[in-house]
Amino acid sequence: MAEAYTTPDTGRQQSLLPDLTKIRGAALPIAAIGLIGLVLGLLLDRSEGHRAFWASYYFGYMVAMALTLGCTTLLFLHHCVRGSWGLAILRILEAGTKMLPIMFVGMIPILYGVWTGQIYPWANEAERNANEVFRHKALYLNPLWFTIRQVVYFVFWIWATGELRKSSLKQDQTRDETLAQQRGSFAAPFGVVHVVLVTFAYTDWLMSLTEWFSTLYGVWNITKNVLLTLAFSTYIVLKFRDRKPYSEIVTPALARDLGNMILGFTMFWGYTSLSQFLIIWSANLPEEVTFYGARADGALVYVGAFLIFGHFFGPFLALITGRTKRTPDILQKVCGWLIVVRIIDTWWDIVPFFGRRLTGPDLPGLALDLAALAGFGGVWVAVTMANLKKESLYPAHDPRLIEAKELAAHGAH
Amino acid sequence: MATRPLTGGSGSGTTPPAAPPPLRNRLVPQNFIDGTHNYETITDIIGAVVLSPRPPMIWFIMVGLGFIGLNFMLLAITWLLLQGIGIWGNNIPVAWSWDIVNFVWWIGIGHAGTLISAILLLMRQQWRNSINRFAEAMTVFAVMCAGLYPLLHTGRPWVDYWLFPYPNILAMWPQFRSPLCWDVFAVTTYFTVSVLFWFLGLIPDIATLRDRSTSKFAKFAYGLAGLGWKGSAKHWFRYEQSYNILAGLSAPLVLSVHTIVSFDFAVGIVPGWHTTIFPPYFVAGAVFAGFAMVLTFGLPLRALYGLKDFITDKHIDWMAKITLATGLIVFYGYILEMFYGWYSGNVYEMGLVYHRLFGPYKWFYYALLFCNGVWPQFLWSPAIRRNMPFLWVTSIVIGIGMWLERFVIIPVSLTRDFLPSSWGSYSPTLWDWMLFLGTMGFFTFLLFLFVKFLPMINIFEMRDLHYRYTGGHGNGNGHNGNGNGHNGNGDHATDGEKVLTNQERSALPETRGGSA
Repeated sequence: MAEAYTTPDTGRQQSLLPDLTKIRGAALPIAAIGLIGLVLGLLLDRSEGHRAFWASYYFGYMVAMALTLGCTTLLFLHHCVRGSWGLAILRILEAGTKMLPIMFVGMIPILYGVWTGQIYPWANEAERNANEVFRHKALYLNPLWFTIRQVVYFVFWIWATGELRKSSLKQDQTRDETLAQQRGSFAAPFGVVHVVLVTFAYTDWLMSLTEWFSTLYGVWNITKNVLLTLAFSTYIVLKFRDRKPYSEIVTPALARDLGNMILGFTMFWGYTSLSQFLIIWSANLPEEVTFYGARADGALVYVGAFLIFGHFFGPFLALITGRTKRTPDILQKVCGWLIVVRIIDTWWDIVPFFGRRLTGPDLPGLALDLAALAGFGGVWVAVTMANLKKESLYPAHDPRLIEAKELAAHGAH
Repeated sequence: MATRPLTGGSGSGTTPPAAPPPLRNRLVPQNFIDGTHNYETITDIIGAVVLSPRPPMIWFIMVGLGFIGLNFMLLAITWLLLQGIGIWGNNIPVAWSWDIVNFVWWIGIGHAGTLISAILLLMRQQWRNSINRFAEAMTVFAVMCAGLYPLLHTGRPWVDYWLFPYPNILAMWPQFRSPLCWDVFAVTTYFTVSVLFWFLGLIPDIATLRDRSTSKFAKFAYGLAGLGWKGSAKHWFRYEQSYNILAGLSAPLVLSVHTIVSFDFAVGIVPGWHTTIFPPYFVAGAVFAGFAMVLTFGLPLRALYGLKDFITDKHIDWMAKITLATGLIVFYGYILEMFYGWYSGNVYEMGLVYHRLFGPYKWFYYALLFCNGVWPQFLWSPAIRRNMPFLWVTSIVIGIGMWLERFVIIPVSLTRDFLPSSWGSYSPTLWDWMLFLGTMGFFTFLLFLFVKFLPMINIFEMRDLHYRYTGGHGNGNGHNGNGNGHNGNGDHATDGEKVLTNQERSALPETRGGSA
């Protein structure tokens, strides 16, 4: 590990905590405005079964869920492989997982929609009876089973991330290195359980909105979540690299590792996206092409085309060069761009499930989408920043960070 | 599997923080050379495998068995060329069978070599250094075995050059939209780059053998193959540059090859072939099978030639962990195939699930689940990962399981497609067996020739590792990787050695395979 960044020293001795307070302060009104807008949208929504509202709700909720589950997945991964890439962002990941109970609260309106026959065609008796495939799936897709599964998912995630968080914080106090080994032994098997649960969760939440199915969908969503979370947490760390404690621990080597992780997941996103598209396009089967058919309808096809370049080629070409990863300003911008395109991709994935297109009558729905994004995104950022402030901003127990800190303090190379 | 509360460590929140151990000792990374060694002993031990006048008896036995297998292969190919592929069990509807099963199986085995050589290199994982050479050799030989099958499967291998796009008057042109066409490019590129990568890495060691061999012929042969290597700074510089470029090329190639192989099936519409999880699942399966094969051959060779100081228990442990991780991905794929087969509500997909579970080939499917899904779970146990005989058996079980996986996917799916009138069955012929066993013999034959004539462990990388660990004081009395000096458990290094602090380590130039 080399020395810390030599940035303009104006804020090097300043703590990050006031900045976190500022971010939280800015996020709260945005969240409030967004949520009020969402409620107003519900009241004004005249579409059948409030589908316009649900489309926006799902979009906002799934962006926040992507960050939360991205933090969860990375937390498992970090403790399992003990990679140095996760050291600087570990506390952000832990704070992000604290959103899980709130995300469960956000699931309650969805459960209400399920039990009242809205949102999902399989939950609506008339639609189910008219559709042979949904009748077949009723064994798995029914309100009771769906609800039980949601409880199982969230209980597991809350419990497992809580255990990892507590152990990591305890090690900060005790410096007991056996705790790190225990976390590794814990994260490996339960990380496997987590991957299976996320796969089934996305099948429940999104895939079951229509008859469409794809075996790659779970892996695809795990990749998307991790990419968004890596971009977000790296952005935060680089943005405040001149603030304590990041000024002491965020080194070019750590940033390079994070840049490489982002590059790797950008490539894997491109790989999974292309694979799924190519396989479905080649086979040209009616029950499968509906996914891309809906997303190539009207102006949505341009969004898809934009994502090919904006989400893959742009970041890929930027990150493949060493200069991007060596230059924190550039890497930070790439991360910011990735956050934007991830949100657009989430919108492109989710909203067409509800029959929305980018045509004239659907355009007012965009305002509701923005409100949902502001509401859920604002809550996520505000709560996570508040949680981040509560603990040490980096895992003080890790010898690799201690070393980085010592090197930075002595200006050693 | 640890299920106890994670906060139940030896410390407690109420006790004052324990003083951390001295920083230097905690930061010394793990050493990958056990025993007492210096530069000379490293070269001696690895070089002795090649330069000793008489190999052990078991080497003759293995080469002999391999040679017999090679002759079976040649016999099977000769008869095939005379009679055509009607001598195989392939039929309609099972037009792809053991030929393609074996192609996929062999090419998958090659993937571990590239993963260890290129991807672990790019990830700066120094533990790759003692296993990369022989895994790379396995890649080259496995791809040679794999390539035979589709070339013979064309039925007219003498016109296989039609597979390439070249200007001609026959109006022949490949179908570029077909993954079969992509396979031609992917596999040939993969083979070319793998051979170059392997050979390039060998050059400095070949020069060492040239300088150490006593026979005139060996000096001449190694001198020729060593391309005049002198070990000058310029040579090393060019070597590093080329090696890193080839590593960069190999990494995407290893992913693309098995992805394209998976497309061979997935772009079709046959139930059992057409599923979107195939690309990552095939790649993981390839690495799974490849690591199993590295263990299958690596464990006996390590014991036979006394190389435990270089291929340490730690290496074996990590390979076992990667095997377990990739096996879990494969098992996850099996679960998804079954679940979404049912979930789809598609009568043909559900028929596939039924056919696999209760059809005439159900025992193959159960065996595959056992070999790839159940048995590898033993690897969760550190004690099992340290138990070499058990690990060796596990690697063989996985090899069988991965072959069964391809068998279940390829011919078994073809026996049940859509209309019952086009259903069929498949059984291999003597010639299928002979060719398959023959390629195993061919592989074994080449591998043991390689072991005898080229250093199976990278000599200069092991010396480099030793240098990096000792900071250039490596010609002292050696170090004890199991003792207090090197594993970060104690306070001092053994005599004649200097254990570097991380600051000192940082000052070392970053060479291939590792940063300081």
